[in-house]
Amino acid sequence: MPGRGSWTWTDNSYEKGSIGVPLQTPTAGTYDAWVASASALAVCFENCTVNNAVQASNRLLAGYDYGQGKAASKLSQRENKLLLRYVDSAGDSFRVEIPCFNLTLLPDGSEFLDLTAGVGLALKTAFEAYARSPRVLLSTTLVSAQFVGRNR
Amino acid sequence: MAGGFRQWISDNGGDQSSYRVHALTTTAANFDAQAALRLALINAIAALHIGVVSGYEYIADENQFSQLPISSPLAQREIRLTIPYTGLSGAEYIASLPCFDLTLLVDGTEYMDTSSAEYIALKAAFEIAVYPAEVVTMGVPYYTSGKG
Repeated sequence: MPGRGSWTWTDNSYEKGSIGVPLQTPTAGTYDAWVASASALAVCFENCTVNNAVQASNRLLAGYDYGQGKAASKLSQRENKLLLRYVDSAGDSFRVEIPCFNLTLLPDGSEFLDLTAGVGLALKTAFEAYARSPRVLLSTTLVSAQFVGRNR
Repeated sequence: MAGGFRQWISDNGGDQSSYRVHALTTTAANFDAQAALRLALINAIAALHIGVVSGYEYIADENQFSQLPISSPLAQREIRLTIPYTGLSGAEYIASLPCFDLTLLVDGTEYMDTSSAEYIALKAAFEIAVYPAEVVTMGVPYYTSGKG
């Protein structure tokens, strides 16, 4: 599970270009040094660009893997999504969609997962403990989990 | 600034789809706690889908900036600095930097000036930070043109 750093710059015509490199896998004990070495590298990259080009984004991954696979069941289709609706502590609404939803988990006669028991409750508990709203990173409340269809 | 994770899930036809969950930015202090909470959520989600997890990213920190680009027409993403590097095993790798400043080349060549402060600093920082599962040595970067 290697780490990875990537940095993106905007050129003179608003096009974006990136560089990505593999990094050590960080731990709690090495994290600050890991961030510092990646940041120092980013400064060196920037010093090699024209007039220190304008950074559009950067990402540090503590671990990653990109692969391929195939699910065994014909019932596994990415178009079957579980749509999670959640709100943050400021009252703003957000959503995230989990692909390949297992439809057998739905209560008969409903498109909504039961968030008060079983796997639904486990989801709600784990989600609210970890997930934050995008950008402002406020704590969240999972409101519903509904089956929806999407075309990809 | 944000942390979180992304997972790619493959279905029965091998088609992939992904989702992203935002979380606190990772720090040394919350590193282990965030990893435990992330694992708990991944396990809870694994109980809900019947796909195969084919990829993931554990995002320690991610930043997006909205800034005007610099005014120089010399700043073009297609003008790239290819950075070759070699692992201890002999494996060869490259990285490619956009918007390269061509004035850092040695006159009459396509190679970066190895006596320049930019090269010396880059080589030092690169060999400390970059780690494709082995220690690396950076070679002499050279100019290439690419699509972006």
